[in-house]
Amino acid sequence: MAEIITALPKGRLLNQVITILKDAEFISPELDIDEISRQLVFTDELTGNCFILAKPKDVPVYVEHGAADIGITGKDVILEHGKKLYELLDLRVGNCKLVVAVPEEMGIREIKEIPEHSRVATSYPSITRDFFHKLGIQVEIIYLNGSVELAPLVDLADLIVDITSTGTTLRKNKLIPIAEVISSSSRLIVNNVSYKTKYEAIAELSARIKESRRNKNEKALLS
Amino acid sequence: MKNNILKSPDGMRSYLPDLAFKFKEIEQRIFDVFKLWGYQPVITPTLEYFDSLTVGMGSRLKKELYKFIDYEGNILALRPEMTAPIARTLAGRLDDLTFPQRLSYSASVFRHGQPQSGKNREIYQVGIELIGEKNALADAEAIIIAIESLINAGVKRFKIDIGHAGFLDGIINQLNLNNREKNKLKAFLVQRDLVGLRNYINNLNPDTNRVLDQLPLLRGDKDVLNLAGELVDNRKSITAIENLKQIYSYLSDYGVEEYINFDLSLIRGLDYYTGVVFEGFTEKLGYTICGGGRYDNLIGQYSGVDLPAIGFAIGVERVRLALEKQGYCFPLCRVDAVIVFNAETSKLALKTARNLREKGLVIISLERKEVDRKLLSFGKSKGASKVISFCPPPEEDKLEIYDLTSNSRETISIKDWEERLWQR
Repeated sequence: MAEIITALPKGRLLNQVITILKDAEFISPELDIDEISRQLVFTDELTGNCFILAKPKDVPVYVEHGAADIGITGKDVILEHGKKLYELLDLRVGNCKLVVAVPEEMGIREIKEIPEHSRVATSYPSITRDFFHKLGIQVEIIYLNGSVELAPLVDLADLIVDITSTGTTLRKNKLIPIAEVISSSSRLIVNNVSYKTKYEAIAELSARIKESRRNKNEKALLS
Repeated sequence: MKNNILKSPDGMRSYLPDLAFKFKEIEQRIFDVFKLWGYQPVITPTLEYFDSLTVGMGSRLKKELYKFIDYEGNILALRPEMTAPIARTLAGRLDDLTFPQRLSYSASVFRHGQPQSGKNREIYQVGIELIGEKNALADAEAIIIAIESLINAGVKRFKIDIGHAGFLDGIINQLNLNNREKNKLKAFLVQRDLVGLRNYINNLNPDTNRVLDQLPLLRGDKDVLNLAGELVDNRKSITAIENLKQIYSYLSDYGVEEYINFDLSLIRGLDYYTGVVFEGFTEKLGYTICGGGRYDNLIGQYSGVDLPAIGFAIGVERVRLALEKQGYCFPLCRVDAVIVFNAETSKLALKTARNLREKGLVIISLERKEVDRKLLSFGKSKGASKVISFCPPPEEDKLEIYDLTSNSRETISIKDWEERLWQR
């Protein structure tokens, strides 16, 4: 089997992703997640696979340029990156939505009510631009790296486009989601050339992930 | 503005000899192959009208064009690839030219792509177009030339993936979808979004998506063609498979089948392909190094008269990267000797230099007062094995030769030395 270099997303998704890869016997079960997550690069001695730990947003960059053969990251990130890579499998973890949210006191409940030239804060400028462009609403985009919900509080922006999974952060900041831009989950992505040169190994991994997910779901249903 | 005087625009760069000579070397080796197949060079303008460049082009690539406005208000653009400019050129000369035409080019093309991807935006390409010939032999010819070009450039362990635009088209047409649904399906395929594709076809008629589901599996050697043939029962896809089989038989007649791999899910970005499509790649390099295919409708979109054509382009920088990843050693740019002289000896020295150059030696000539350490290390840095010194004039008709490999020096009469040269 060809050696595969995988880019893993650091942060809140890492634990879930590593569990999935352990279930698929791609990472050996003994490896300690806490120890792994402190490293930048590690090789799993047992399976011979090599892993790169990168920011979720950087995972497509590593994969597109072939620094990693495959990677795991959110659909939101892939869309924002403007992909030139294969999207092979939906891992069905890290489910979240990219939504348009407005401050309560703005009194807006529908996307069509958004005034022209509103300032929109987001970490997803490209998706946001496309979304409003398709609706024919002209907005001014303010790019922020994080804590986007802060922007309306300090009058940096009128509304935001941001990720939400449970809605708690939005509620806490008195923001109301009024439209869904996309719904996202973690995807297995593959470099264009690795898809050709290491097709068998990657297809096998993809099949094993699918199967182990199915078994797990069945167990969960039975218990 | 002042801040920019030392910089080049994003994605544009200069190449000093250490890289530039490799570019030229690769181009030359590939052009040698083109020539052996009877291809002749064509040159087209770097700037064209936007409308003319974008005939048959998808909206995605349109966005990547560099655009300008000329003094009359026309929109111009830098060419993003060479096929459309060549098609346009020929479309205007259909009556004067005899076909088939075999054309080759070496040109830079410009795309500004995704800003974050950090790729070059001026891309050096060499390629060919075979125009006015529509049969499997012409298809095979283009693929063989691509293979021989990569071999001659020094690339090892590469493969050419071959697919067919008609095969997928036939399947999609068979699905009984309306145009909007078809385009959506194609968009998933072009974006290589297999998750989106699967979700989308699951919502369509489950019976017809059997083939699409199998698509990613249709990769491998020629047996894949039989497998694919069993999966489809529409005219267009079957014709495509027959075409591929015929191409393969020519490829193995020629003896290059070891480089071939079939991938029936292969889709190339450009929208104008109508038949066979192919791209080349090597392990370790995350990008494809060449790509092309058959485009039988493009010239017709310019002239109203369809003219079948096939072509491909090779990315010179990508070939260089592939060679470097494979540990390839480029032969050094050869300098044989440095000739040093002063004002008094210039006539003798320049004459000697001329003689040597006429014999095919690479000579750098320098005017200096004397040979010093700095000059010897300059000679070494250029890879020269000898410094020939006419300064100071030691004695009448004598010169000094510094051997840079053995670090020795000898004084020799010019006559003896010339005799020695003739013996080389």
